[in-house]
Amino acid sequence: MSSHLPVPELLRGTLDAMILRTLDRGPSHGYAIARAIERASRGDLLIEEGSLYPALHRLLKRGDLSAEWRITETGRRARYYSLSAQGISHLADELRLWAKVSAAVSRVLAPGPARTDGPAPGGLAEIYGAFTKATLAAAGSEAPREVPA
Amino acid sequence: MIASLRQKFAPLLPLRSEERSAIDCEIALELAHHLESLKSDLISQGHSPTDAAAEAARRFGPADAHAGACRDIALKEHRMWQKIQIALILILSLALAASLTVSLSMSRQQSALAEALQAQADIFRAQAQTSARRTEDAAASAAIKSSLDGGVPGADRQLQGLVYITGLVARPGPYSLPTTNLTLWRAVISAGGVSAEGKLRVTLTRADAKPGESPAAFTIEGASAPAEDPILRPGDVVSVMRE
Repeated sequence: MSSHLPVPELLRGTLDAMILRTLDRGPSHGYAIARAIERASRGDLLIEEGSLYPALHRLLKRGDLSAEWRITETGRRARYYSLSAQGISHLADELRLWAKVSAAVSRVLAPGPARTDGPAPGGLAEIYGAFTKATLAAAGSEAPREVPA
Repeated sequence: MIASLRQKFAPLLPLRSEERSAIDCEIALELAHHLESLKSDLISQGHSPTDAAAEAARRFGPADAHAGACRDIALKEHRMWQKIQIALILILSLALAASLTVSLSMSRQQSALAEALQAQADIFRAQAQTSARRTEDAAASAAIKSSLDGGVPGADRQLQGLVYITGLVARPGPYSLPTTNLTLWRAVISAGGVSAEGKLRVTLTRADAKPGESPAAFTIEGASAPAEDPILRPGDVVSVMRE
């Protein structure tokens, strides 16, 4: 297991998509969304948890989400967000876009034919091997897997 | 009805302070719930409460900044509308000030115009008075001429110069000389006649009299003409005095 990674600049725009995808499993409050993203990414993606809230409020304002205050299992008051019809439509758009972009980036970064001037230097061969394994694993995983407790 | 309208135009209406504090309160509650939940989970994972609080704060990031960002999103329309309202008020006040300035300067111009017209009217009035006076003068001189013509209307009014009648006559002064022959005695009568009783002496000083030459003198008494009644010429001076 690699250490926590801050969400890279490239991935910032995908925070909205990750929130929408998480809420597609059912209404949830901000803290639960943060934990769900952490679990789904197996701890590889570390978002600054406070930054979830401006994103949630923006999606709420845009009409992708609705919100209501409820009492949690632990007896606290929390604001629960749920997907609106418009949010579902936007999630579909985001998923299509992400599939296209990630496939395109993977094609560029994927290991190509072997070098003609000898073996790849600096341990690149090893990294290519790991990359292939990870890509195959990702392609095989339909649903996000839960990190074993 | 009113409630639904209010909801529809909510972003356009000024935000009441209780609405504003309700928004702030909701944001604060939401963020506090997150931090408390995170801290509880960290404690249950074996962190000390102090460590858990510090770790929760680190993972959450700057809470004030996040709360501020949420408030900005919630109040975005209101802020934008407020800015538009302020801009509109500014534009309207500027337009009002400009129109006031224009109307003030216009009224100033109008009063200046009125003064100019008044001055022009005064000038016209003065000119009218002058011309009336001239008309009166002309009428007066016409009367004189008529009298010199022997009071005959329509007589030849062409003038050929002045004669001066002085001394004991009713209206001494210069008289225009008509083209018809005017005699000494008729000139005296034109000047209103003699203004004294008894024997009077009338002298006639010709305009072309040589220096030292004594004027011709005639004696008159009452309303009768002198024995000799010469015809006057331009520049002659007629004096009536006591013997």
